[in-house]
Amino acid sequence: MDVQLQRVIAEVLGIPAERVHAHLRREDVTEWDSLNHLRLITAIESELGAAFTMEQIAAVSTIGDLERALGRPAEDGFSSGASR
Amino acid sequence: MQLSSDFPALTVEHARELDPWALSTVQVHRMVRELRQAADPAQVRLAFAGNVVFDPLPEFVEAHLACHGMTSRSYAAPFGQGLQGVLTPGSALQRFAPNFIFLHFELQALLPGLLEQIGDSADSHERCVAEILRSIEPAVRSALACTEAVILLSNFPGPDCYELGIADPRSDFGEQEFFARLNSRLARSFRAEPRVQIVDLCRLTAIHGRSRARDRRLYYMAKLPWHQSFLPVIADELVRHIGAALGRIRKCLVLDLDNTLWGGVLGEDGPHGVRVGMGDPVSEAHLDLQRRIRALKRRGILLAVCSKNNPADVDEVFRVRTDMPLRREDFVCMQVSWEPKHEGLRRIATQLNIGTDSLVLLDDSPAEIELVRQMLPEVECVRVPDRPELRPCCLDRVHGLDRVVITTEDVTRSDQYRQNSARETSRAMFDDLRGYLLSLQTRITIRPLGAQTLTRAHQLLGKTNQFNLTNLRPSLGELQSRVRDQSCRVLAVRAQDRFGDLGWIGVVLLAGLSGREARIENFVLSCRAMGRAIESAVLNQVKHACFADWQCQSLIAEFRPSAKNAPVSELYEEHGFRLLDTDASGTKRYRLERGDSTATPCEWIAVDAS
Repeated sequence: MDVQLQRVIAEVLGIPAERVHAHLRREDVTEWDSLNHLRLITAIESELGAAFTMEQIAAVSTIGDLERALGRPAEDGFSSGASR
Repeated sequence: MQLSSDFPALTVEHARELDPWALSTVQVHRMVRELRQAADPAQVRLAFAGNVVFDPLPEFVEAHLACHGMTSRSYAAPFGQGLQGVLTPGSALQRFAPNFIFLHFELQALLPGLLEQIGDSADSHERCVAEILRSIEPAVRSALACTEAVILLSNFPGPDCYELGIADPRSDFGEQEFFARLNSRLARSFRAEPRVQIVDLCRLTAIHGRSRARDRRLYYMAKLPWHQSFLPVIADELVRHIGAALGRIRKCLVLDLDNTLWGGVLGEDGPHGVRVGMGDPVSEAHLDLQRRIRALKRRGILLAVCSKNNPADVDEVFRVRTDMPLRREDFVCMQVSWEPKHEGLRRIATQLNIGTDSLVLLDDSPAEIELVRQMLPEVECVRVPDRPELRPCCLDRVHGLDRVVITTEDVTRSDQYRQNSARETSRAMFDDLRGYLLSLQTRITIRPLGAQTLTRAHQLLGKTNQFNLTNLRPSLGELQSRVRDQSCRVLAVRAQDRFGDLGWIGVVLLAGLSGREARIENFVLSCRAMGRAIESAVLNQVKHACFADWQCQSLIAEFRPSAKNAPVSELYEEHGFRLLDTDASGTKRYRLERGDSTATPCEWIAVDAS
């Protein structure tokens, strides 16, 4: 996956970069609560120059969803239905 | 936990050298995580309360504070808890013991439906303003009552589009006018309350762009009102307020001349050739810069010149260029010579009797600035921007030039320093010091602290370094508590002489007056008032108050050494106090028994202590 994205996620959630992969789900990461989710979104937006819609923000439940919302396809077919 | 090594490492010690504006969101996040692990005592304890979710604003404020050299802790009141519950004795916020509280309200959430009524009728503006103030004031009052904190209260930016569209200004009940009125009333309601400072969110959103400052997505989803890009802007403004309230101010702006006050080089272009005034773009930029510098005098900031030039040339340019906003007499000190800048800066500080850490230097030369940074790292250096259009605003980012409040003493400060040089001149005419002191006809007034003197006393305690016996610097809230406390007295001292009014120049903190043993907890005197035994007259009065008025048996005093207060290290010895002991840090404790108390002669000072 995108190295910069991986770093931002690891940094904001305070988890090791190795843990960050497309299959990682919100419910698997204690630190990924609703407040940190918005932090994560705004950090990705400002670091990677992206902009998410409200629907995208609400629908993200895996790292793969984030990648797809960014228009960077996840490396496998795992999907959790991020709406575009 | 191991932090990913690809981001540049940030540590607490580095923070002071960082430009807070250059920090990315992730850097702020990381920096604050590291800062929060440090066990440093927090100089700033900042609470956030209102009707929004503040996170992650506190992180940005903590990061900015660190970059400005201040340690901090923050606490955000949980969202959705009624404000009356948050700001009461025993609440989590009160137990956090903040010294600053940022209060922010979103109007729509504060009074749903009210904003739709502002265009209803002739009296609806007034009614809505009153209703908004009625719902805010209790929160502010209870914050004032249950903490000693300074309240930073945000005002209300208007909407980014008006109900009436472009017809809004033509309407008698337009929204633009409503918000102007609301904010002016808000400011007026708290103008007399020294512990409330208005955070001008209107100005900040205007600069940043009203629509860009908000993030509607985050507000709808999580009640977070601000866009990520706006957080550093609010953080910077809060840090300005906090720094100024803590007395972290710079007293004197030192200006270079060539390519700083004017475009061009005086020695080459001549007095008529240097670029300032109307006519060409570069000259107009310097005209604006000079106007802005001149305006700083109204805040009480002293202006000085430090330039490598021929003194005669500089005298001439100020004589012939009457089109310049800045005149020779606007400067309290001129160092024009060919010696290194740091020597000139030291001389300016000595002459004004202030520390070099009170100086800001504006200069165009990177080499000069680099040298000053090496020799006098405590001087804040600002480089004149290369682009002329940026020059007029180049001092806006210097927090040390901001003041929480402008006192009468501030407005007249430059005059005070000029009176001082008149005093110096007069002094030269006397052979003996006593004759000179008698000729000054000094009169001092000593009064218990009142509403008019509170702000000035706080300012004096906050910024006086030399004549400061213990460096105890109470916050406004603590000062107010002392005024209410029956066993304490805060005395304010004012001085006048035949050259003019020096204003309120001294403060004494007395405690324990209702017992046997009274204490002088601090005594500060402005450096302008030193050298004529005003301190003796004040101590005579303190002794009289303790022993005669309050019938105390003894008076305890203390000298705590700091980097700068050596001039008063022997003050109490010189005034009859007995030294009890000196501890390892150099702190000296004294006692004066009632029976041993005598007045120190200072018959050249007339005292009014009614």
